[in-house]
Amino acid sequence: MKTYLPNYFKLIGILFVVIAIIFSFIGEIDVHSESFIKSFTEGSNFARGLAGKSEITHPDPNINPNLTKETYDMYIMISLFFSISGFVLYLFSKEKIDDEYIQHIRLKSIFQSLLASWLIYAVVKLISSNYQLDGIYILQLQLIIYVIVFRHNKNVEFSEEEIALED
Amino acid sequence: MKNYLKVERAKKDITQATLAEKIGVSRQTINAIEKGKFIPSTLLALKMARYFETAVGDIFELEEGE
Repeated sequence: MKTYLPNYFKLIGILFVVIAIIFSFIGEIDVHSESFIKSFTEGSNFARGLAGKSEITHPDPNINPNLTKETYDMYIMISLFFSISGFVLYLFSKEKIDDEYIQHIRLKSIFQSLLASWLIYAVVKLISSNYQLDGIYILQLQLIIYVIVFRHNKNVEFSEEEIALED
Repeated sequence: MKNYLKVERAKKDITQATLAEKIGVSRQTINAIEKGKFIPSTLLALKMARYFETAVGDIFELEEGE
């Protein structure tokens, strides 16, 4: 797979993802605070969450939200934009030495991450059909898995090279 | 596929790092090729052959049944 951006775009990509996490956290502040309060008053219930009946999907009308629906949507959209842009920048950035062996590892990682994301999607759908994992979130999941798999493959391949080094 | 990259390196008395630098790849790539974990492209094989002043067939060889 060809990469087109210089190596420093990797750092920019990581920065974008950090920004995305911050925006996502701010956007979900009502959900977090509600869950936090309910965990004290009612205790957590993992089974209800898996069945899609968690408090997150059914907001408590007694708790005043900090954000309006429009503001919430705006934060989530910004978060998604930064997240996907960040991962795409990471995907298309060169390594310090970007040769065909790295391209081979990259291609292998893309294939593995595609399979892993399908598997995760299937498992999630089997456990609960109420879970929201559609459209752009699948793309985001694939990109996240790709970054993890690529780093893992690179570390494994390169650490084996270090051990087996015979100059 | 068998390769005699290590032999060719030994003849020239150069390290993996030197060869990697000469043909523009990482040392890990050279090591992976020597160990048979990675088969290089025709372009890279030709670059190696040119550097060692030999034929590609003298560095890389098909194994029985390939």
